[in-house]
Amino acid sequence: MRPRLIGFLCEWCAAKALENMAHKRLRLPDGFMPLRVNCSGAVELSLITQALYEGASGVLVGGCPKGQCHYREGNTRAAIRLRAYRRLLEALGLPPDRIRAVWVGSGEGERLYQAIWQFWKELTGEASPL
Amino acid sequence: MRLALYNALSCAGCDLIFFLEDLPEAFWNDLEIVFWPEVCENREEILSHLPRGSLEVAFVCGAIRTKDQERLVLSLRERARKLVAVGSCALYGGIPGLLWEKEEEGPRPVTEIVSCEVAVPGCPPEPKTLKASLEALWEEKSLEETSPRPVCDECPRLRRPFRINQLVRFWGEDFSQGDCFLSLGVICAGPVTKSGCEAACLKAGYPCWGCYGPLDRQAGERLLSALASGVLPAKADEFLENLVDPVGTLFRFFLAQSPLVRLRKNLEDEKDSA
Ligand code: SF4
Ligand code: SF4
Repeated sequence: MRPRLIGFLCEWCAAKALENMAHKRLRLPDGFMPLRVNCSGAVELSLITQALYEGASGVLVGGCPKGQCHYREGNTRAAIRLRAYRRLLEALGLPPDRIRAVWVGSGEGERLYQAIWQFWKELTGEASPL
Repeated sequence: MRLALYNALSCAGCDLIFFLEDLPEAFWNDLEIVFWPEVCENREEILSHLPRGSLEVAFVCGAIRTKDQERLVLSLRERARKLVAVGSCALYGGIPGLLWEKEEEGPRPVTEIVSCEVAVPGCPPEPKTLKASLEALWEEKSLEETSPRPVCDECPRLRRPFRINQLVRFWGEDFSQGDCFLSLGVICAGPVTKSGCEAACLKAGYPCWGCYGPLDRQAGERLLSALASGVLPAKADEFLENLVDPVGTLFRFFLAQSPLVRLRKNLEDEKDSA
């Protein structure tokens, strides 16, 4: 199956960052599928299981930088959830490094771009064209 | 009435013997038990001599681990006009299903191997659940719920907004009184478990362990999401430290059906074929 990286990006920061970068027309990995969510804290772990089960090689959760969540605590909760989820994956003998979080402000498109490619490279071996 | 009873991989706690006094009357008419390995000979020949559809009802408890168990259940399915799966092991894999934590291929629920007319949840089922299921079977009514409700709907404990300060193991202290277990930091599977038991454990002062079955196959992830969101951020490290057995706690009765163990298998198959 073609490798896929699902990105749950919060609409206030991470998804904005991706949009703000769009005019640069940089190439993102072919298998990267961004999904805009209300808040990184709205990403229930069952969605991540579903993404992995249906063939995603990795799941990236993108939210606002620490202390800047539009809903005050969504990103903090998301971070705790993901840590707990990694523990669960480890306990089941599943690779925890298929899950990653990135916290970026809406003006940090460049950093998000790097983070996506970095993760993609670790998952597939294909490096950023830049 | 010709019956067969079979217990595959289980603790035998749902054995029908515990429910005899609760069986609907119809079952006592000319009762003939033709196969019951626990009290008579466990010879498959007994079954193989029976023609198709010659049993009125076959009851099966437990999960299926060995080829023999699987063959026996298939054989019962062929011979019984109605097959009743009893208990969480038969329905969801149950406690033996936790073997999937460390084993590549663990025991499977009966319901994944053969079709069942009735599935009676519980570890063990409440007698009234079994009785209601059998009566429905008799009257050919369906008890299948289209939108099951969580155990919390039947729980008598008081619910108020809360944050989780720390995880507390249900041990030693008296928790019989008080608010919702989650607010006390005791993990309770009520929010992700199908109701029907009338919150039996909660009424007895225990948290729900989830024996009536998950509301969906990702109930473990949902419960973990809820717990992690409820915990005070400053206490996150402690929370993770105290979550000592995430698999056994969150997936106690249905690990055998979790997409995560299937995923692990898929990844291993991929690795093998690569
Ligand atoms: S979580 Fe448990 S204690 Fe709380 S309301 Fe639900 S069933 Fe009752
Ligand atoms: S409260 Fe939970 S563990 Fe107890 S009987 Fe009901 S479903 Fe089972």
